[in-house]
Amino acid sequence: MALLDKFTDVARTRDGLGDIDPTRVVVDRLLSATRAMINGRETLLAGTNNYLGMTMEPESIMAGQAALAAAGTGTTGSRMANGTHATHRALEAELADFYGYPYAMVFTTGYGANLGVMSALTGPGDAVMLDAHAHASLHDGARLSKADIYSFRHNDVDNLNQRLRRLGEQASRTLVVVEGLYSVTGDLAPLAAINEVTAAHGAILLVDEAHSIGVLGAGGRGVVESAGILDTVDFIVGTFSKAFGTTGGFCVSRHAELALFPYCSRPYMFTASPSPATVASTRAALKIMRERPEQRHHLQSLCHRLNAGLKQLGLPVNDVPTPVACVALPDRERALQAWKTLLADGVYVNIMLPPATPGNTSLLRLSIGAAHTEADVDELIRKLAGVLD
Amino acid sequence: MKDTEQQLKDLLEHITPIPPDFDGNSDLIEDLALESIQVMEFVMEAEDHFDIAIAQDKLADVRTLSALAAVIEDLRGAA
Repeated sequence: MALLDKFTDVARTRDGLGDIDPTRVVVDRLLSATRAMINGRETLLAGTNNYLGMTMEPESIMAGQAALAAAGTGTTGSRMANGTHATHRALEAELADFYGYPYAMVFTTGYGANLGVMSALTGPGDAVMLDAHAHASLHDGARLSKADIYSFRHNDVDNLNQRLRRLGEQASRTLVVVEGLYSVTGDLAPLAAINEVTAAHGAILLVDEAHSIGVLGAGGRGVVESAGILDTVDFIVGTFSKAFGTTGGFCVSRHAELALFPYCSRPYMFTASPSPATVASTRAALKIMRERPEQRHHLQSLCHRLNAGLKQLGLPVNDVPTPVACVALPDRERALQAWKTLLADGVYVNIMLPPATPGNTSLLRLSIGAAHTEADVDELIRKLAGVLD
Repeated sequence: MKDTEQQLKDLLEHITPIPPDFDGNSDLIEDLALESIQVMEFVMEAEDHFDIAIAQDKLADVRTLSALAAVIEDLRGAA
């Protein structure tokens, strides 16, 4: 088989998606943080990760514009060469202060943060123990580390305990990796119990708060805060591409060794640093996140409204309402049809099809943010009910 | 070895229907059309059933129940 022949199968998979391909939706024009023109129609955005509506926040936009004018369009180099500006260091100091930790590290993307942190923390002879629903970037980080890779059953603390026991002495050289809030199903990790079991085996815990920073916790510090483990969790990673409304990733830790990661993290060393405008907008977003808890409170209220609406439709919901919910459809064809009907009716949600879904199910993923209104959530529920009949 | 293979087949039946002509040398991916997430679920079932830990890299060349049974026997022998 020639090198390029494998793309025949890729093309067949793409063509199987039919006349409207969910992976090729084009947002023609944004109207706000919650509305856009898609296929010539005003559409409610209920499938983004704009949890605080920060993409259209005037202070964040102005900070980016000022940095663009003052420092140019990019850094043209990695953090280890010419790519560290005072603003990168300032963002790291502000993130460390936000968490009350001694050090923070900023990456160019959230994906890069997971690869960079996991490959610095673990290597050959070590082990990575992933929750079975962990994001692809965490699996890729594990592969890059060349550590032994294992999985435990999703959110099953007893199973994690058994599996760490089976590793014997290697358990003390194991990185346990979980997400605070799972991005497809919207459920939370039982972090306090996971943290306790991990520590009992002498392992290290890494929590990916990509979908929970800014959203959960009294101060917006994510599930680590709401679970009461800020003082004991080992490492937290996250992204700026969701609640912050920009791009980039970060790691914070109570362990001083994080300051040494730049010297052994290839994804950090060999990537150009975030642009000054992106960093400036991110810093503004962090400031807003800290100063306006009312955004988070409004979002929480909407999460309860969404959960109540889904319950009224007879759908299963998570115990703790979060901005993410999923609706399982009987099969791939009906999921695709429901997704297309919703889009034609002016509502954009995500569609998740096997094999990239938990339990091999076909799902619609719904997500809301603080920029939504109660009327937006009601519209989402009403139109969803129409496609589920 | 036969016993381990049969136990794996029993576990696999909980995850996907198995055709009558499926045997220890059938290809798990091509003959059963298992998706990657189903493979992960199957391996976790096997780990819990045999009380062992199977690192992903040990499965890189495993395509059949017979090959998986050999990996498991090897790990149990080393324990």
